[in-house]
Amino acid sequence: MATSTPAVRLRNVYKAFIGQGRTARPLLALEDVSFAARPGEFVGLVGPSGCGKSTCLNLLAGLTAPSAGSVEHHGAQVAGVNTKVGYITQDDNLLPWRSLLANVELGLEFRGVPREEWRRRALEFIELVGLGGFEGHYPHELSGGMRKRASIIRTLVYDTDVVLMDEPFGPLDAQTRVILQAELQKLWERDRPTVLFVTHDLVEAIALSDRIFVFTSRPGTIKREYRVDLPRPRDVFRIHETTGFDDLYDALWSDIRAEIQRARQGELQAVEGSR
Amino acid sequence: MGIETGARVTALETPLALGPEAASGSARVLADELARRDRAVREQRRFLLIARVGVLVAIIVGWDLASGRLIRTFFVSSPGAVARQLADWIASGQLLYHGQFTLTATVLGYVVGSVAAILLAWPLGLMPRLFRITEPYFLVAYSIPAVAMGPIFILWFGLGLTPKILLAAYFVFFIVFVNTVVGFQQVPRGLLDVTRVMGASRSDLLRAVILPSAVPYVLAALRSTLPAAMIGAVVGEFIASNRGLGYLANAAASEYATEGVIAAVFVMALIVLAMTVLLRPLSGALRWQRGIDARGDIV
Repeated sequence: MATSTPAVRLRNVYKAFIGQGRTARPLLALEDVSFAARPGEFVGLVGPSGCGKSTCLNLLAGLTAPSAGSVEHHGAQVAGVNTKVGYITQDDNLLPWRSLLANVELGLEFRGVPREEWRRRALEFIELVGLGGFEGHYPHELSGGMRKRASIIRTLVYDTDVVLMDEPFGPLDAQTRVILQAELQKLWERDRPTVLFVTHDLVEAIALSDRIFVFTSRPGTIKREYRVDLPRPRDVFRIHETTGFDDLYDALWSDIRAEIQRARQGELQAVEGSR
Repeated sequence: MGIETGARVTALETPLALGPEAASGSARVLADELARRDRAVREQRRFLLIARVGVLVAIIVGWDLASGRLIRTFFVSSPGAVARQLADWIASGQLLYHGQFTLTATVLGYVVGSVAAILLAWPLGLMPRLFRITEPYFLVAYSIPAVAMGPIFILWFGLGLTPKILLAAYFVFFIVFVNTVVGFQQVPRGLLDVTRVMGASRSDLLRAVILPSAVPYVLAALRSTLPAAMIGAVVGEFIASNRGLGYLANAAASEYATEGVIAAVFVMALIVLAMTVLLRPLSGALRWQRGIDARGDIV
């Protein structure tokens, strides 16, 4: 395993942003970030808000380029939009003018999959997440949980080996969240893609991940790496009862709490310095 | 007997098993609620119709009473005189004759203006840099009072139908143009990002994301610019013409025939109203939009 090429890898990546306006100063979002994910690994990325977790996904999707360092997908540099990965955002980003079925078929259509296959594969995934019977519905006619399911299978249906997920369950209510976590785990175990999963929810990160990277506050870099050795398949509904869960949760939380405090002290100093 | 620690959670038994009676009771409640809703909608509609007719009657009666008593007939004429004037024009064929020119100029101007606006907005909406370059010139053109273009079009194209069509088109053009450009530019960033990572080519993006996203904006503009086309056509007729409803109104005014002016204006309003009703299906054309923005229709 250790010798095989990682599915994705960031090497000494820096990313600076400059806001709008003439007086805007460059802001360092990522500082010397290096990590790799093995093929088939489920990796959780956690950290305080604004620490650059989502930026890492955008770099891997090729939607933005690093200011320095290298971003690799199976050893090859990512240059320009990376269509070899799947990308699932916090907003469901379904096309409102397409029915559920047509939305799920979208990627197959763009990727030149033969037309006869679209329907079969789309329907298979729609059934898999229990959306059968809603194929003809438009996104605004579906509930938040149904739209989220649709946006996930829309990406999984075209079978990429790497899937980037940016707080996909963020806007959902607590119950729907756990149900969808279970469904995601089931879907992931089917084809075992590499998943990079950004979340603020530590329970969610533990329930789903093989490894978790904790980010520092801005400028973000990897503070620590945790291995989640809980046996699979996991019961996400009772994950907090699993042996070892508490220790891991406490460790993650104290890391993040320290980062949040550090960020707040930095802000206070900045405010005092400006006085 | 040890002391129990920790909270105990006990689920309460459902007090009554939900038997068939309960089910039929629920069905009745649902049916009743539906019937109540339908009744309320029907009553609402009837009330609206009666109220609207009432307003019309009040205006006509008030007008009739005020005319000659509160305000001199010379200024406001009277409902009867306007009705007689309309009947005269219909009988003599004048209404049909003049109406057709105004109608032609309005409809052709509407079509020419909208098509030109969409064709020009298309590339500009897709190429932000081109849009940034040309933007100030469009702003200048937009800030010219559209009426001022009348004499220019007449200088260029004479007294016939052409300057009226162009003026109507000019009135329509900017509204449709601006809406179409905005329609192309407002495509949510997230949708574009996600579809690009999915592997959409440029033409895929245009076909599957950008065009459908712009359609509601274009339709909204098309629905709201008909009155503007009519204004353009009539302004053209006011400036220089010997036919059309604008000419008819102008001619009546020069003879101090108030009922003629009012009758001509009334017909213009009727034409716009009729065309607006004809274009109404445009707003309901998109099923995916229904429920997203249910806007109340006036007509």
